[in-house]
Amino acid sequence: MQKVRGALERRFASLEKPPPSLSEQALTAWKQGRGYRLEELLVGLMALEGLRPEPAYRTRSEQIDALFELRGRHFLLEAKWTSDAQSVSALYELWCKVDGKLAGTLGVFVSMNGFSEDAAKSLTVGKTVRVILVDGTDVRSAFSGEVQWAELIDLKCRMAAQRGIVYYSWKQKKDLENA
Amino acid sequence: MPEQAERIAFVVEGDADKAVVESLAKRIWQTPPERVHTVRLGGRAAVPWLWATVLTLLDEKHYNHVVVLLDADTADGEKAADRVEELKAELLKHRITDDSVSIFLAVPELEAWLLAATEENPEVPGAKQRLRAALPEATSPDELARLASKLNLREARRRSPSLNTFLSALESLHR
Repeated sequence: MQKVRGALERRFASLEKPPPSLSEQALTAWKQGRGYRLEELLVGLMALEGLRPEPAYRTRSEQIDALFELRGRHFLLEAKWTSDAQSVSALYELWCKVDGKLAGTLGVFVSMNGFSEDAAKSLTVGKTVRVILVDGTDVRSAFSGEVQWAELIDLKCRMAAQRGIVYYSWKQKKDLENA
Repeated sequence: MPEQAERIAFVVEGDADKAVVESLAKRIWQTPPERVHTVRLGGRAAVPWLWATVLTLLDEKHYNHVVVLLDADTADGEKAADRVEELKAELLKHRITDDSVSIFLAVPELEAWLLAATEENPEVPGAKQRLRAALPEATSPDELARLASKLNLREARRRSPSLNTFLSALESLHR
């Protein structure tokens, strides 16, 4: 298990920086492919933790990047590795996908470059919280083995349930514990 | 602000901010407060719930004062001032007053404070990119802390009003 986790960590690290001397066109393609490779690695991490993940699948009307289960609850995952923070519209798209699914299903939006303040806030204004947010700092904590993916999702669900907070990082939890 | 705060918490966005703030605080406080601790929010998305972090530090962890430092993400000083007022108003909704929390924005971002060592007018857009271009190694928190520890504070405070406001507040908070 440690060996597999180590391999995932190394593969994730290789996504952090593009290989040197790529042409501009190759660099664009590498960056586009990085999001898909992140999805695969997250599915690998979830499988390792027994969360019964299903990799990306497509219906006629929508694409889901992954599905996983934790404590009997189903989660739809959306993963993005773009240069900008995710905006309200991207989050709302996942919110709508979750809205049409079994009651109790939640969305997990992973964005390596985070989310705008407005986008995060929009998830809680006047509607039921159905999507929780994971950013690059959290993902790095998970791949480094600092926290298990399941533990991270548990923490986020707890903060969303307790205080309506849809983004609460693992770093903040640790820093507050040590305060 | 309390007359002498002995337990002071900083709330910042990430690792780089933590490194710079702690390095600057060490230089300002010759005799450090009894306890200084930094909480990293992780990302900008956490700002709408800043109140929860501040309340935990004040009520559960018993800090006298919380100093929040974020990037303004604008070079417009007036807009940054308005943003501070918005954040204060948000905290006030949760009964968190100026007595226990101070909010500062680095204009336009924290990197401008470090550029104040070499640039006459660092508070203009693109500070992050300019710092990277000038010092490619200045991306690691350790390197940023080192730069902050060597910054000519007198010159930097003159050139960067937002740095000066922040450091003046630290001086009043604890002597």
